[in-house]
Amino acid sequence: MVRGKHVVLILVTILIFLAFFYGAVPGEDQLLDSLVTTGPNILLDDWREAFRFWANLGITASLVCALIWFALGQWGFSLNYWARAGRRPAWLALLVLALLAAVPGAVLTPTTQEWGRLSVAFYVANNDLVYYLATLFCSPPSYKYTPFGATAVRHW
Amino acid sequence: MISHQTFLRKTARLFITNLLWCVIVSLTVGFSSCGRKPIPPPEEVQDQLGPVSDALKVDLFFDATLSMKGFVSAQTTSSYQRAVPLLERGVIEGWNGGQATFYKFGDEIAQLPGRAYLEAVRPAFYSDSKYNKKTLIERVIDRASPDHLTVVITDLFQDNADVNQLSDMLKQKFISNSLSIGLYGIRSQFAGQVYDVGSDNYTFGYKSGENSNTYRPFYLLAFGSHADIAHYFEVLAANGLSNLPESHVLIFSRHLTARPASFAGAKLKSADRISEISSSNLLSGAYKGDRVKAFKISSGKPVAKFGLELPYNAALTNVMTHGAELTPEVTAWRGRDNGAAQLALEEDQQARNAFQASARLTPDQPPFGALYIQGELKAAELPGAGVYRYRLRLRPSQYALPEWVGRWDMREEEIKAWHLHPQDFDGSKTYNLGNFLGTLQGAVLSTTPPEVCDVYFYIRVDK
Repeated sequence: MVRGKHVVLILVTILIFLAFFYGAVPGEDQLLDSLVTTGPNILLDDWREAFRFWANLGITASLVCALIWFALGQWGFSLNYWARAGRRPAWLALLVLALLAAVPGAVLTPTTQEWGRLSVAFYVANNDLVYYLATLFCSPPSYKYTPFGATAVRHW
Repeated sequence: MISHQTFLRKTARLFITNLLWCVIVSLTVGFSSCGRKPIPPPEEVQDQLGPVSDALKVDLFFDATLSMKGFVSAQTTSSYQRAVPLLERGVIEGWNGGQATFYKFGDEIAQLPGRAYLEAVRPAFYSDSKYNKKTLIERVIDRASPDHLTVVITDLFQDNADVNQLSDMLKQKFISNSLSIGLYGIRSQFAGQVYDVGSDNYTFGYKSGENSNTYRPFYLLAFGSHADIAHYFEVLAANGLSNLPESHVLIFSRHLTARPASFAGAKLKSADRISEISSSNLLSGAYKGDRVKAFKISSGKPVAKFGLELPYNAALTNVMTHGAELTPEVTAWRGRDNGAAQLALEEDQQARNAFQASARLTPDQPPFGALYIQGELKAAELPGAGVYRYRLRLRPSQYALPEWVGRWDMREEEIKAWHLHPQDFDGSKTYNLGNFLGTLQGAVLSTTPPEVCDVYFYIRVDK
């Protein structure tokens, strides 16, 4: 029963990732398609492909961070009482790591004439949200209140 | 610990909440491409130079008038005499199964049996009074078959009336049927009389001497497809005509390039408020050609500009000389949704007026290596958002006859001076040459003006 719950939490984490992979990133891609003006050096199609690549790479890195957090919380940390567990720095470190995964995309996505920088905002938001939502809803029970705001939503 | 059922219920709620969030994100930004219909690709009607014929019948007509006699009366073997035997060899070597038929003409036309044409290198050939009075090339044109290659060997001496009549006949029979006219001018030794010079039909005696600059020109005037004319002249040149003192080739044709310039190897040099996109975003079917560039203009951009550089690497040799400036001809269509699977094209004058194009070849003088196109679309003046198709055809703005034509042309005012001093007569020039070639060029330009580029722009405009 306990093992099944863990599996479900991990599956939901993956589903959050898939929701971004198949929902948010393609949606952002379409928004950028309507806004971005590339200029002479690159096809808009190629620029969008670069955006999708770095966006998907970023959310994959965030998924890995969320899974690491889950693994650490479930099997890595010892715990008696969550408020004294002192694991928020670890959670924040993984959040920073997920955000850092946006840096290669921000640097390597080709520059454009207009609206190209919006892609950086999307990289940061996507990575942040995948990690945050996954840990908010799917942290191991022992550390379920570690993410900010979790006390308001984690009633199970 | 919560029960299993409660856990599953909450997990399901959590999943639905997340999914909903992603759906909201997606809907907020909008899948703007959903429901976009494609637009038909361009028709693949290419104005390419046709291939050389596999087998060809070549009719060769010798001008047998007295003016030609001087080409075979010099003390040495003249260039003309050396050229005559090459004419048949050019046909045999140029085409497998090529068939040459020879004629002589003047007042009348007569077929020359077997190898009787070789008599054209002897003075007696030009002494037949039935043929040697008038150079009636128009009769040759009348008789010429458009699916043969017709070659007239003549000194091309014609008065103004001849020029107009000849040009008109050539226009009707060849140019308007997309056939070409070629001229191979060759200087040759000459010793004899030159008849019908100028509007007063003076006669002058002329000896060219040994200086090739004073040799008298004769011409191979060819009518047929551009590829066949060019091929025949190339074979003749390879067989020895190019070794003769001075010779020039000029082909009047609707083709200046083997194929119009396209976007193969083209570079987008500048783009302001416009993005290049893959043509597969807009076109229906799998378009494999290289005549399309697709662009997208985002909403709120009143004016978009772009600059393209196209390789110009298919220019033909010995064609009409033209300048670097090109005149654009633009046609515009708007994609209309009439309920079908793809947008229907509707010619749109408002869209046409919103697009300005200019183009030129570089460098400023031939040989040209690249073609620059500047486009400006005033999106604010378009009838609305949607997909637009623009066809851009480019033609040279200015033409000129080659420099040698000026040197070889005999002018009327010179003739009057020579009449007073016949010893000064310069027989190295051809009366009315510039007029004749200028009229032929004008006929080609007015009937089948050559294109050097024929491309399409598909532009998606968001508003």
